Amino acid sequence: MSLWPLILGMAAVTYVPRLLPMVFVRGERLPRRLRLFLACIPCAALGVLIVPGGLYAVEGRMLLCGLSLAAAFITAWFSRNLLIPMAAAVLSLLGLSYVL
Amino acid sequence: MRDFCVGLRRGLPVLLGYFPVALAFGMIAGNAQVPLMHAAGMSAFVYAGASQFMALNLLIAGLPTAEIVLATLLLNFRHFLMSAALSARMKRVGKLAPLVAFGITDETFAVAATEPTAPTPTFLLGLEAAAYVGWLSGTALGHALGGVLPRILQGALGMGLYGLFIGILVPEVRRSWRAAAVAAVSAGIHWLLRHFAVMPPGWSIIAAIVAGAAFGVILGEAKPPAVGRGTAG
Repeated sequence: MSLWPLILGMAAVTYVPRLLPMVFVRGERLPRRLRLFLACIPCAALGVLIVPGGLYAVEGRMLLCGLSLAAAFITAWFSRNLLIPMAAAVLSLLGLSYVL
Repeated sequence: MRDFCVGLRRGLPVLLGYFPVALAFGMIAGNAQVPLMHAAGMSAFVYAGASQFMALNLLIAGLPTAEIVLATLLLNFRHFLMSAALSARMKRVGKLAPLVAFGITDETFAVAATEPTAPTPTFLLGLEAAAYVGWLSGTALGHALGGVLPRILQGALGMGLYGLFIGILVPEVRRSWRAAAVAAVSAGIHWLLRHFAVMPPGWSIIAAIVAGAAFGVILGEAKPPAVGRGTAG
């Protein structure tokens, strides 16, 4: 069975919502409150992307995942290099998985 | 061209974060008897990680194509909000819009939207190119290698992307308490919605982002919280 109909269908429904605002939304034409709303989306999205997904990254190991997220948070506080919290998250989860 | 190279450099953490997750995707696809061309085709044309993993699960469960496509639409509709937020911040996207729009993912959006100055289309292309290389090469290599990653290792490698999100969020939170409040409120709402399974996951994501950003509007009439500074016009 070919998966191409599925792939192309998924591609279309993923691409169109990515494309339409890029073509039609122009910041300077929007009312101030809507602009403010859109400016708040990055932080809102980051909150949503981290919680609760990060806590479920290893099924049934919420404490382990939470500590690993905390390690990323603490290292990010002291470094602007994104690779530092990434490494902290990965390595702390691996290391703590032997202890917890 | 300079912008493109700066974008590429900013995309390096995304590339490194994507690679192992795509590796796992390629492996799981291979184990599910999905041929290499189909797995790579999905990564190349759909290019949306969570929905690709979901599609594999639903395929294995035997769901019909139309239902998987519908579920994909719901899960990926959050990019509509992200594309709108990014577009509102840019002066002009122009002819590159179709290409720039294709590369919008959670991660490239998060990096681009928190840049101190409004991103240019060429910057975005560089950022997105780096991310795309990581996703595609990881998929192909994972499929070629085959096998299964131990559960803890797969979880740990996936954790890299959460580290990336946290690394992007922390400077915003440090700069503005409004940004912190917006992130905390949307995270809390999302957790509740998911915990009580109020609605399908795709809707939960969108509802929580909208609620968090609306909360930001209530908080920040005086000046835009977080990354709003530098917004053109």
